[in-house]
Amino acid sequence: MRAFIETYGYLIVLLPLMGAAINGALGRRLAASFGERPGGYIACLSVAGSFALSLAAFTAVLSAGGEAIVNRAYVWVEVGNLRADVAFLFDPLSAVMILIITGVGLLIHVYSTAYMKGDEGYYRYFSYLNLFVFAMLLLVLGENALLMFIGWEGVGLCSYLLIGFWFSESRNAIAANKAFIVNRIGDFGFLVGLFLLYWLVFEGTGAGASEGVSLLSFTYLAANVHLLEGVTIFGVGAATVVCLALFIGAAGKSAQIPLYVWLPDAMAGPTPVSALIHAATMVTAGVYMIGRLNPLFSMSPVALAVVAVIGAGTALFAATMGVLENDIKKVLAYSTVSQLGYMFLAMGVGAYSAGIFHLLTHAFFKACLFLGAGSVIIAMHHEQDIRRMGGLRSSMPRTSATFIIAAASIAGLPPLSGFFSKDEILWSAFASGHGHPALWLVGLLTAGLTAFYMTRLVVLVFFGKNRSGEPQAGEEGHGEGIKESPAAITVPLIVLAFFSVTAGFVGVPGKSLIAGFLEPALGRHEIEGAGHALEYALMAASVLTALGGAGLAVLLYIRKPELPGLLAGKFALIYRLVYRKYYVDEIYGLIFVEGTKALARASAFFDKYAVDLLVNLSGLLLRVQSRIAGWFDDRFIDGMVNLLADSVMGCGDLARRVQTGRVQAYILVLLLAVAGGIVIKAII
Amino acid sequence: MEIIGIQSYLVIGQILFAAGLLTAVSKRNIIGIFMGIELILNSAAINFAAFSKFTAVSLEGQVFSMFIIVLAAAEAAIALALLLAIYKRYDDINADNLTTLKL
Amino acid sequence: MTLELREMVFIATALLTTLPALLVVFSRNILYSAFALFFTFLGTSGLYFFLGAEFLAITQVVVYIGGVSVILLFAILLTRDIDEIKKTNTMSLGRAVPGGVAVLAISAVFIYAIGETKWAASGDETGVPALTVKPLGDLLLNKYLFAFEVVSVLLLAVLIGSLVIARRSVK
Repeated sequence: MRAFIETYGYLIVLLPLMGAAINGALGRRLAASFGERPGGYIACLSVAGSFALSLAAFTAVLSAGGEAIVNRAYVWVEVGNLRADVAFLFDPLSAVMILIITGVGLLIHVYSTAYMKGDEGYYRYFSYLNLFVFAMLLLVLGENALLMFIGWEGVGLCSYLLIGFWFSESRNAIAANKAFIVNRIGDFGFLVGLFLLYWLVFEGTGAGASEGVSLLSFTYLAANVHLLEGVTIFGVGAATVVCLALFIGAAGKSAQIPLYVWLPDAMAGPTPVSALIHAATMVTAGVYMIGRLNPLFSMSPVALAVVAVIGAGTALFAATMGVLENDIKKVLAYSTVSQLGYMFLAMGVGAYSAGIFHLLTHAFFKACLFLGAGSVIIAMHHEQDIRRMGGLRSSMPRTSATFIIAAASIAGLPPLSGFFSKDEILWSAFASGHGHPALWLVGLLTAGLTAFYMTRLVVLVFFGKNRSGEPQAGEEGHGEGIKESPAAITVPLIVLAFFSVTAGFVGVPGKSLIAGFLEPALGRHEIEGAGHALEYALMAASVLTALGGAGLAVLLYIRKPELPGLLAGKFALIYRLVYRKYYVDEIYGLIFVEGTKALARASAFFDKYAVDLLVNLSGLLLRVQSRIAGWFDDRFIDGMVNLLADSVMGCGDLARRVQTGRVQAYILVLLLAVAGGIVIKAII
Repeated sequence: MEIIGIQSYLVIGQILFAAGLLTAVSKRNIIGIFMGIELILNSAAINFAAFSKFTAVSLEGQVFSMFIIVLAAAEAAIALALLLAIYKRYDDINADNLTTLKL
Repeated sequence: MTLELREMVFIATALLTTLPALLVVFSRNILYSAFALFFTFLGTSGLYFFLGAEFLAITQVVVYIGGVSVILLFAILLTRDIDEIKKTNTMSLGRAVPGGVAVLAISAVFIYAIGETKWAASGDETGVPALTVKPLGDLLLNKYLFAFEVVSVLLLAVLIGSLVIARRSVK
């Protein structure tokens, strides 16, 4: 198995690319002659093949005892001291990631065949989706930072293409632009970080391509980051600078403060895209990157603290915004931002495996939630406002059951997967060497809020009265009615719900399988000096908080539906602030967009008054001067000009004869010139 | 100087080159011009093959000659096609009468 | 000066190559020029044999004599009436005279240079393998694979392009 992966590991990455190429190049023709189905099958098959190979890679890594397996395809760049191979690194971390990407990706592909049915861009959609899987796999499997960066940009591009998939509506195109531009800011940080890292490692080791060393290869970096010890840039530790620059990149891609603003708007894309890209995989790239470079981050307590604080802050901040959101997908989007904050919190307190564990469970339950939301949106005929839903439980039993399971999981109810992963993070935040009780408190609050808004969402969508005006199963009424979605949609939901329940058991506290598995890649994360009693107490606290949040939501939205309005009136100021998302978009708009416009206006003003004044003044001077010159011109210059013109015309008349239009005449001239040159050269 | 030496080959190549160049410049018939170009290509191929044997002592010159032959064949096909197109358009293949390059 | 048989054959081949080339230049009949060119190609093929390049020689025969010459004859037959063939390949004196002077000048300089250059010990045949087909194939498919592929794409483009050019009826 190991030899197989060492030789054919690249196929995992290549298959989706081939799928994308086939759909991109031939999709239109296939659709024209065979209908849209073959395109979907090709896309699903390519990801299924990738998934099968990923399973093989996983078992290979498992049996290798966590030792990294490298599949070196070819040397990609070798310029000066820079060498980068196209090579794929299979270690516990990337093995887990590719399983998530191809597994969840496969389910979402299957789901999409039903969700996108009848869309005129069917094949285009699958081409983009496959391309995304390719780029994401490249990001995760890339053996060096350069290859990772290619994947990093690739997923950004696919995200842009898919958010703006229905680009004929300008709202969607604007959302796509916003996502892309905000991501560029992050990517800039990432790139600066990479440059710095390259430079520092090169300075430290002096080795380069001539020694066959690939400086940015992760294994080489892991072995050599200690060289950054004691190096400073502008008086700050080099590791800290590099880590912070890289973290800017992670914050952009993974939607952390202050770059999270693009993710809620990214919900403009098709729902499966939100599930795959903006919940399960792409947005976790930042977390993965920190995990991949964990030896570097471990060297800088300052950078880790920044990561933890930003993560915790984002978790709480985004959770509060989810509380009052009424768009079903945006609630989930804010929840994604919040959960990503959790992951960064874990990374920031040095509990890398806990962060990856949460990434794993989050991929399952959040994908399930998004796909469930998609199912609801189809049933509601593209209505996304939860105030106009309600009571869907009776007509959509499978969707509602899976949605409720996933919601319970994200809310952290034991023994679902979210409980284990969230608890692992909270415990690390409280007790690890980099942790702090305040971080734990923020995490706990967030857990309560998460339970609250998820319960609110479930209650408003699936319980209570039907507020949509469309008849449900067994009801009389007009309209097409609300129906359960087909099997292609519900089967992925059921599979994801199953994993939302069970995925947590790989990380049971005390004998965590996943932590043991990830240890070779992420190192052991020991928490010392804290008893089990404390751990159980904290666990109980978080469960109670989650139950409290859920109970509060039930109280507010089922028992006393008039209460929310009352509270909103009482705390109008806070309500407005949260409802408008703390006006962050407006503030950014004011500072950056309006700032740019103001700069433009200032330039225009300067142009109009200062520059124009100068121009006008010089114009006046010129006019006076030209009067004088004109007189002189008439008398003296014209005579000379006419003479010149006549002689030019004479020369032109001569030269015209050479232009016969015959190619051979031109060749002859060329030949004569060459002969003349050669003869002169020979004589000299 | 040996008779079968590099100089002989180069001189043969030079004669072919001169003949080809003169043909290409002076003939009125487009087919004639085309023949001149073929002569030039042949002279270059001979030179490459000769250098391959006598100086470089490797086969790379022969590879170049190969490419020249292939390109000459391609050129012949295109030339014939162009010739027919020109003949259809002007009913004439006298290069002296094709002066559209003159504007 | 006595000549070995090998040298006599070489001289004959050289003459077979160069004399028809001169006929190509000076003949007024395009058919004569075409047949003269045919012999030049044949002579070139013979020179390749002397150079130890059997594969090139065969290719020369196949491509030039089998392909290019036939194309030439086709071109002639498709475009001219046979009865006025005698003055179908005339030269323009206005171009031939200056062109001839220039060509002679260039030739003089080059032949002088060929004679003056100190060539490395000539005739060392140890470097070139006796049978060149296999190493030539190795070179083409390893070191020059990219050029080889590009040329094959070019040939495909020529195939299609010549069809398109020839069949488009310009009105």
